[in-house]
Amino acid sequence: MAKQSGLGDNFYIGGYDISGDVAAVTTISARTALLPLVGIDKSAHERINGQRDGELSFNTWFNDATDQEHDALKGLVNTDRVVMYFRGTTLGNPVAALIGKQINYDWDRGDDGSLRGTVQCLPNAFGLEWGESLTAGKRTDTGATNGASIDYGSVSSLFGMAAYLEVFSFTGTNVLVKVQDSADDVAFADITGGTFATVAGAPAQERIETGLTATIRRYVRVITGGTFTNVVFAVSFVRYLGARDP
Amino acid sequence: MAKESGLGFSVTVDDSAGTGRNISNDIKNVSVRTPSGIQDITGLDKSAIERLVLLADGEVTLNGVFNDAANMSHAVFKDYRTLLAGQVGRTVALAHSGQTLSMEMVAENYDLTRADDGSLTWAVTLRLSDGTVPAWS
Repeated sequence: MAKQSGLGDNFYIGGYDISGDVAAVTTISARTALLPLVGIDKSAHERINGQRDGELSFNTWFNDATDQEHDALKGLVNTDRVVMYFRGTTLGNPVAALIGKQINYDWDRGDDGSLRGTVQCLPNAFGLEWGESLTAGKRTDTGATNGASIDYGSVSSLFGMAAYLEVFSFTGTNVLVKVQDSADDVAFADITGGTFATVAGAPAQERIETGLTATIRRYVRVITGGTFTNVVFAVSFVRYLGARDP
Repeated sequence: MAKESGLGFSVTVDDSAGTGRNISNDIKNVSVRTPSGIQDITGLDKSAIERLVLLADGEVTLNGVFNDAANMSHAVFKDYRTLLAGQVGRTVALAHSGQTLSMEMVAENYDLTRADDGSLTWAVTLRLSDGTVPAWS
């Protein structure tokens, strides 16, 4: 790829695709507190990383159609929500994801009749994490499916992974979504800790992670199994390249 | 030389594996700060301020356009907290007109904005991490 605009992006929250209602994503922030630890033998500052944090904030147009932004956001639930920003909908594209709290649902009705909302989402415990999409935007499976893989190059990583799932619609009894890896893009195996909880309805959402010393091999994909006739979902995959603070 | 513009300025930042990546083409603008703390030590017998220079610092702020090509700005900053084992920061090397400034720094953020007009831009602020006084060479 090259330098890009944000045209063709998607935005998902709590198992709702509100891409068509989001006017702008005003803040996609991964940030950390820096802690000073200057010794008396130094003539300049010394610093280390402190707590992780982040933010996904956006503006939205008002839309009270079924499963659009008003349905998705009006409840201001107290529980954590998975929020994902997809940079385009090509498999393997960058995704910024967090699990955390929707802070507000604010509206401005202007003199000119416009109606524009502002929503802030702040993470709970894991900060905002950049990963890659294991689905081309939203993926629709009509039965058990082995998805296409993404290739991370020839070197395995040794620091585990995290993944985010949102399920937008579901017809059936249950679906199991798993992340698998492979060394040769032929023989895949389940990643220990890379299986989401069984889903029996939509909307649904979850964040999972493996142990932070797990080996993740070159090729990664997401598969579905279970008893269903239709599931629409999206997955972001975060492959840790270095030791991550717990 | 004579007075110059900033055309041709280059910025190279280590990725999480400690390899320097020239991401100049992704950067729209850069600000470089190398301040020092100042202590007022004016004695009673003086009619003008006396000062001492205290701790030095370094801050680099980068603003750029999103690019997820291999070894460019997204690849460098998406895991900005990850440092090569044994390192206390990432090397940030600034060069212009044969002059260079290199500092070990930690990033405090990687912020993106996807605006109404479709543009996707990013901003990163890096701060000195290893206690070495910044010096141009």
